[in-house]
Amino acid sequence: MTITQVALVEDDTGMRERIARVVGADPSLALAFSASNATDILNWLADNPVDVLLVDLGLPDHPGLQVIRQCRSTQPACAVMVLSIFGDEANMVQAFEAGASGYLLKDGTEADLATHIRHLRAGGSPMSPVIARQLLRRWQTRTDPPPRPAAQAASAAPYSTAVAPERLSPREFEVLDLVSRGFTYVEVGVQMGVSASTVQTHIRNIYGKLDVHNKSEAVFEARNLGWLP
Amino acid sequence: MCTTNRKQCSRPATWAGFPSVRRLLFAVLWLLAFIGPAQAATGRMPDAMDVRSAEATLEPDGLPAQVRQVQLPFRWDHEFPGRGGKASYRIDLPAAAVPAGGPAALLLSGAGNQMAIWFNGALVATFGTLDDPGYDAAKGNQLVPVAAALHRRDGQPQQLLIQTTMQRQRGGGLASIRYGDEASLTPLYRAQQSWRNTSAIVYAVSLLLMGGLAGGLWLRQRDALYGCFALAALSGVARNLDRVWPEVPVPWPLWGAVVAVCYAGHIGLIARFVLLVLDRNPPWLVRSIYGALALSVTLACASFALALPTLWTTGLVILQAISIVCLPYVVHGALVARRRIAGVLMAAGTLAILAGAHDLLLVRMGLFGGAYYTLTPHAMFFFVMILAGLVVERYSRTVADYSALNANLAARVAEREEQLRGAFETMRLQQQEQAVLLERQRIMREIHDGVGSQLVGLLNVVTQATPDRSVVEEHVKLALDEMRMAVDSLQPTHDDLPTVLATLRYRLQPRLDAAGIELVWNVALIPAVAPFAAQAALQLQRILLEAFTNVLKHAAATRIVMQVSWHGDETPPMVRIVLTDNGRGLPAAPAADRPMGHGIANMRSRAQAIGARLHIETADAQAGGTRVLLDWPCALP
Repeated sequence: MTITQVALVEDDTGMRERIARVVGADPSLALAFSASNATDILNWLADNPVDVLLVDLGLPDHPGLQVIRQCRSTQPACAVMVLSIFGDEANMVQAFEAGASGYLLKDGTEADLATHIRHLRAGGSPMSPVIARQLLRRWQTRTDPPPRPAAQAASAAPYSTAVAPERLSPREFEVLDLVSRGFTYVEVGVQMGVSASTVQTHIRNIYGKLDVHNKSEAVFEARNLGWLP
Repeated sequence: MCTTNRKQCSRPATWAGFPSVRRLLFAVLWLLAFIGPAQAATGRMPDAMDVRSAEATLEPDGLPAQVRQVQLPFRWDHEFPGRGGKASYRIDLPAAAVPAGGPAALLLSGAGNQMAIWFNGALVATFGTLDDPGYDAAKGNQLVPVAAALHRRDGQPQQLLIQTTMQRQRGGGLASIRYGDEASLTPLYRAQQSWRNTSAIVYAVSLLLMGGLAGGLWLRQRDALYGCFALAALSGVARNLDRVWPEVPVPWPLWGAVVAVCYAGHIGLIARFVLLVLDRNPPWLVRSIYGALALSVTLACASFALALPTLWTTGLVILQAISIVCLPYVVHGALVARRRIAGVLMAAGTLAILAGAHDLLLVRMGLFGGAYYTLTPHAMFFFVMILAGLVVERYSRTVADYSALNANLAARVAEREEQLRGAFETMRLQQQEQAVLLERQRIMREIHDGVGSQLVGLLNVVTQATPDRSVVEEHVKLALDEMRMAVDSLQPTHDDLPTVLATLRYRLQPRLDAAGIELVWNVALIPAVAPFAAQAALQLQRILLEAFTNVLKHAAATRIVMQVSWHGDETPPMVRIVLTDNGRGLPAAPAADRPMGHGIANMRSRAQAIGARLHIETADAQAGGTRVLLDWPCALP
């Protein structure tokens, strides 16, 4: 079994230690590097390839989003996960736009971190109803002529406004709508008449369309080929 | 007998009486009135003689004829006031006066009213038909060329006979005769005629135009000043027309009365106009002006009707007097109040009064040697220019006032806008502060009531001698749930009911999965409701959380069905949430299970707080289970 190399940047020492413990306890994971600020992790990332990067958004020296963007450009094969406090899902849309493909809530459920990382490596992407609702509004606002100056759209997309947003397909809209109304991926699949893995693919594609900044077809293909069985 | 006068005299009138006063008056008025061509021409004229006297045969109507030597200018109306008649004048022109070179000519002025001229027994010219009042030759100058063949060559004087017929009060007579070289008299004649005609026509047209303009202004603005000037100007037209129009189609003396009435109106209204311009209108003076005007008009009519020229002279004296009475006000305005317009009016008014005095005393009464040319029309023209200046001034001032007003208004509007913006900003800030305060209070209350009470409970458990580990864990989980509820209520999508419910599921799903409870999620599309209050969202979440927690803790169920439906056709529109489990069902005696009862009481009070109806009932009589039914009426946006 390939051991997944994990790097971490988190300014809270306790949190950093808990994560290190969880990663160390899992035989399939290895903590390659742990940093407390953006500068350190960016320096390290320049020379060391890694499979998964865990990023806290509220770093003391640079915004976590900058770390995500830089990592996506220097290491396109690296999957970025956001460490977020509970209830900060709204801001996570920005992280997805920067290139993150998953998130972990710092609400005492770190024990599930290994599961989450494995899930992410297997091509699964979590999406909470709040995020689905945010994304739905974001795309509805984009496609609505004239665009409403919705606060969440403005705050959610400070980087992608200059780039022509990729349009969602009607199926992707449907997935977002059902997820935002509380249906699980399995239930969504049943309602849409597709398998749960197809729903998962839709979700991943939606995240991919958010990743307007660094997205390139080659990277996307590499991810598909490398991560999907 | 005739006398010759080769002296280069500027006027046919004699300079008797008060020559220095006369010259001064003359100089001031005529310089200012741009009068000069005729005078300048006379000054340069070398080869002509003025006839100073004539042997006249005078036949006034109703009086015996008389033959006598008369001095020129001869005024018929002075000799025979109020009478018409005939007169013929014999004049011997000395042989020496016959121009040596070119053809000779006669230049006559103020001759008539109708006239026939004989030179050495030959008729050389007629002006009008004798005894026919349709033509008035006395209004203009007449140039009569005299053929060389008519002249006597024997050194005898040339015999000139002028036959005239006069109508009463028409200014007839024989003012002057000049005899000389036609080549030198023609330019003089032309200059005089053109000056006389041009000035009269210019004045008449100006008065018409300005009178019309003032009339138009009066129609639009109803300003007495304009109305007064319009009448004054239009009434002044008749007099100027009369000066150059020998064949007026109105019979004499009716035309004389018309011209006199108009003239009276002209003078009187100009006096009134002056007061209006000054905006000094003492009632007694205004009344006096109108009184004088009415009186002089009456006198004019009476004068021509009764053939009494003295009456019209009296009328003119009254007009002159009233004009002089007005002068102090103008002078006061000019010198004391220092008003520029008053200064201009003072100049024009003084000139007009001097001109009036000149016309009255010299032309009308023939005092101080008499004069034939009236000056009043020239002086009155200044008032036309004053009105024009006044209109321009007022217009400019109005434009300036308007732009100043505009600027002022714009500034005030900007100021008000600024104030409004400030007030609005203040209000917005206050509202914002108020909203923040309310939200803060709500969050504080929620933390206190939710997480706080859970932590207090936890403290009670852990301070016991042997705290039960599972109870502690339960309390911690509940506290975490409370904390998540509170945080979820702050999500930007908290106003979206399906997302609120979905979030609840998202939080609970791991615990349900762990407990092996299947959740059937049946949430219908719910339209956007009125801004979903955070408070209501939280209460709904709490009620449902309580319900789910009860199932998890007490029901021992394996399946929960969550049904949310929208009833938009009800009034008010309603959201129905039905939560059904297949567990043990409600306990027979709620009091026996205290936490359950406490939880249900909480649910009820929370439902009441958001205006919802809560029913908790047994789901199925046989299979058991519990159904929690929540009807929440909500307003559409």
